[in-house]
Amino acid sequence: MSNFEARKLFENIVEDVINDSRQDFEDSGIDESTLQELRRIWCERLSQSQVAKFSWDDEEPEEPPSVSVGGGLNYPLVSNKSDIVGGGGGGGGLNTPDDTSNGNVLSYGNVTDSIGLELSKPEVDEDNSTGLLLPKINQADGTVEFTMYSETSKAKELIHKLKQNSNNQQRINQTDGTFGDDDDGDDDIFNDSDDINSDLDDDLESDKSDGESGEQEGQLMLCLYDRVQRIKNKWKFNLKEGIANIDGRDYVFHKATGESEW
Amino acid sequence: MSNSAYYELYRRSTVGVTLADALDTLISDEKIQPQLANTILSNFDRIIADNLKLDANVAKSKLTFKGVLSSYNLCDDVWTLIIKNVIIKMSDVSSEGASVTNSIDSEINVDKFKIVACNSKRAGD
Repeated sequence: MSNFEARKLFENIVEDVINDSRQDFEDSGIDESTLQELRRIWCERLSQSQVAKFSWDDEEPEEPPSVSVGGGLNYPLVSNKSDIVGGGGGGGGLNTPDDTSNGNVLSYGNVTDSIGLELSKPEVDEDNSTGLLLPKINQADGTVEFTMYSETSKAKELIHKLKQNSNNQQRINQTDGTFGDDDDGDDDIFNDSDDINSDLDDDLESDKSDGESGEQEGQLMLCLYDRVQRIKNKWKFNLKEGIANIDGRDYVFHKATGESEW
Repeated sequence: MSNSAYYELYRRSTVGVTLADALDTLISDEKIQPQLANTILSNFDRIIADNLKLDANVAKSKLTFKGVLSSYNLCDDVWTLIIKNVIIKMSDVSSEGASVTNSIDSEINVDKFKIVACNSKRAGD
């Protein structure tokens, strides 16, 4: 299936809104570069929502830097500390029973403190390794979407570009997955409360969580109605000029008709 | 042109939500004022409504659906329908760019489908 129209519509809308807003920006004394920044952020968010494939995706395949940096920072930190645990922890543990002088006790006290802190962190490490199983599901979702693309857009060049982009996007999914799994692993007991607090979402890119919440609301159709009829329990709908989000993709339509029974 | 002439309905769509997101980012960076963001959003209301009209020649597809009407609500001229076990059929007439296989019919089954519809009689003009 194709949602080429949605892509075209969205690209038209972005261009029109940016062009029509130029005067409003000028009137407010805001310069052109801010307007272009608005366009850039908007396009970025649209691409991340993955509701359609956009022409600007081909121009600049990019992964959101903050997410990848966050993932990159985590692993070195954890691994460094686990190294320290291996070296310092083992040595300290062996030496403390032998030495009884006050000075040594003080210094070893520091070491044991650090051990106490670090012992909890290898647990986080384990959670990472087990949690890595889950992101693979995310990856699978990603590839499914890409095969859908290749079915619709039959140009081979596009498929190649999609494959290149899919590598980037899989990385993004992975980092997100491990983040989420970290938190799940840490607080399995408090599953529900964690979801509500959504500190995890704040750590993530806010756009990602927005996209997910949009999908959770899911299958939403926004449109105008010409006529809604009812005969006993049978309803008929004549709708038009709408946008429907179905299974995470956006479709636009000129006319829609529906029948259903209550 | 008065802003109230157009529905704000489509702000809930992906393209609207992402625009609001981008505007929020600029506001929190103190690059624009909230008033300007509101102006942009009402520009968006007008532009998306005009683009969805048939004479804009963008949205030409037809969609049909059939399912069990789970709940219905008409309030302030806005229908909110929740339909379950829906079969959605789309005839896509977008044959541009890719191969010319005219219309592609596709069918999707959805457990739950929510429709928010405003009265077309008052839209735009």
